[in-house]
Amino acid sequence: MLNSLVSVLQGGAGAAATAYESIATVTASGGETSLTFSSIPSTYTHLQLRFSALEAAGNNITMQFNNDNANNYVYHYLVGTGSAAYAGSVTATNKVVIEGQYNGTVGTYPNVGIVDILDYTNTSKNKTVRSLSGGDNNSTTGEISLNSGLWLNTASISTIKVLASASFDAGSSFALYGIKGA
Amino acid sequence: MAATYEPIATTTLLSTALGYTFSSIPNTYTDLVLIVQGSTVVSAGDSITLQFNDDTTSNYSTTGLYGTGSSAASYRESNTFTQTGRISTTQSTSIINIMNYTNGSTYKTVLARGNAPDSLVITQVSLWRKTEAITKIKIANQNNVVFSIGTTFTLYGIKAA
Repeated sequence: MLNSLVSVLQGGAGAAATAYESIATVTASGGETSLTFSSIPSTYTHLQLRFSALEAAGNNITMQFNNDNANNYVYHYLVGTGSAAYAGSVTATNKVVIEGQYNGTVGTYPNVGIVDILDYTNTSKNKTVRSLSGGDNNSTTGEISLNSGLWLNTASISTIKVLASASFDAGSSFALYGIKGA
Repeated sequence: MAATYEPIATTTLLSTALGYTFSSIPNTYTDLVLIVQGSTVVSAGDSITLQFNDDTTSNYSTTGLYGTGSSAASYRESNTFTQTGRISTTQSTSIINIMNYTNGSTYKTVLARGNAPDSLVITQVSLWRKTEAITKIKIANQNNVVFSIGTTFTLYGIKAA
């Protein structure tokens, strides 16, 4: 049965068999500074990226669209560190953050995230991104964050580049899904 | 086309209970999504807790972020149980994502969002420090109070390409 689109985009209510489809999965072999989804079909209404990443300490994960690396992005964040909650924003920058800084030290502690890219083919709208991400390592360096991002461009999204500020360890996986409207 | 996002199992409580357990979870998906919608009787349950594969030890930890309507704060619980979502005496909804649950090389990370309209909105990331695939999920709540009749527990599987 088909649940509402809103509940699907909140990271996980059930959907009809063909409303939510897997597009592609990219897995790092180790050492990559970016991973790319190209030739994204335009047949969906929204995209969702789900990832499980193994990273070097101090790394964060960001996103660019259609190879645009100019200062056409804005993002806001709300972060919990376990001891404090803080918020902020960055304007006129060249990417959006989808996962904040990883402070772990062990490669078996994956940082995970769910990123929604809404109305990605609508050529009348700038593109918005929402992410929930985080990692815990049973110490003082876990972090949970909510991020919202804006790409100041009305072009349909056909390429998504996911970037590491350091690098992705082997086994980091990013899975892209398409969500169809009615 | 084969379904990517499939319901695995669901249950609705016909009598009050301390929780529910999903067993024999197939290993054919990439992520699991657990949705808990309902309430607790008498007093708030606080966070929903998950135990995996009958592990009752302290192999769990959580970092959380929440807003109460007047402030935002963050907390951490180490070497304890997972805290995912929220359950209260008013109807509450939690969406809990168990990521990469069959990966035999990494620990298991859980992302959750919880909405308890009478108290707060919350999001958490939790870790289970075991590399084995998850085949069983025992659901309870932090205050060990009974869930109300009509509370639903639904488990979905998401399969990546």
